[in-house]
Amino acid sequence: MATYQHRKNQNTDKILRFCDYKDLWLVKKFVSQWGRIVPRYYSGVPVQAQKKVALAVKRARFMGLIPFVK
Amino acid sequence: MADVVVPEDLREYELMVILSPDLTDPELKAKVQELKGVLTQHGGKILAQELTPIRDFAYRIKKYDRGFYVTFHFSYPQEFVNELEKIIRIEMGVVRHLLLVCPKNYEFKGLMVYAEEAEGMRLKEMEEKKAKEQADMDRRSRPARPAARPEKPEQDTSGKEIPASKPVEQPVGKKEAPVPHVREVKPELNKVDEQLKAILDNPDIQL
Repeated sequence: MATYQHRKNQNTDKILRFCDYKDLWLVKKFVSQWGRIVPRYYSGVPVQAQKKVALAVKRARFMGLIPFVK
Repeated sequence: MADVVVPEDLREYELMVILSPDLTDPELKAKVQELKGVLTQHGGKILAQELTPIRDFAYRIKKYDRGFYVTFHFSYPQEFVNELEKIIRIEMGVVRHLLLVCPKNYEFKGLMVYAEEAEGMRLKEMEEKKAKEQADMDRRSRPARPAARPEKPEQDTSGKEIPASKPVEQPVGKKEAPVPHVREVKPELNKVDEQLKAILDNPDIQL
């Protein structure tokens, strides 16, 4: 999970190019332990990247790959 | 509608479909073939596909706890996409589906490919963590460097003692100024040193 301490460790270039909802390793980094999308203050990525990540999380949730709520 | 499809009309899409876990092996194959048949209508072309083994859902979907995930990367004429989605939703009897337009220069990777990559990354991270811990342990277990002992000033054996430090006279009524720290040599130690040297210098005693 992304935390305030690790907020600069994300690979932003990769996300900006394309954020795939099937890439669960990446998607799970932006989800809290209760299954909620981590806010930008903690994820530490630019606005555009955060939007792409959020969309990927929502798609993964819809397809039953990650839970809506834990 | 024109039967001949101009290549410019084709667009790349990605379709993920969840199939029922009740399907037997031949039924599953037949279903995948049926899907392929639908996707190749109107000049559509399948570029890549993936069929995962049965997989648990994160939550219950239509009274199922698990299902087969089938993913297709294909090109399809834009004008027939709505029709295609309708067919998949109504006629194919799938548990759930997701149809997306692919971005430019899209490289298809399936769920299993990503899972393999994630496993590799996890192992790499674990190794890095282990190496870091080991380095930390090594650093802690290394003995601390012994502090260099300052050389003692030469002393006469006549028995005179050199005072370690002169008492500083304090002016009365004034605020005490910070005194720089001076390493004091203990007088007892000096005495012991003198005695030892006297014994060593004694010509009567042979070692």
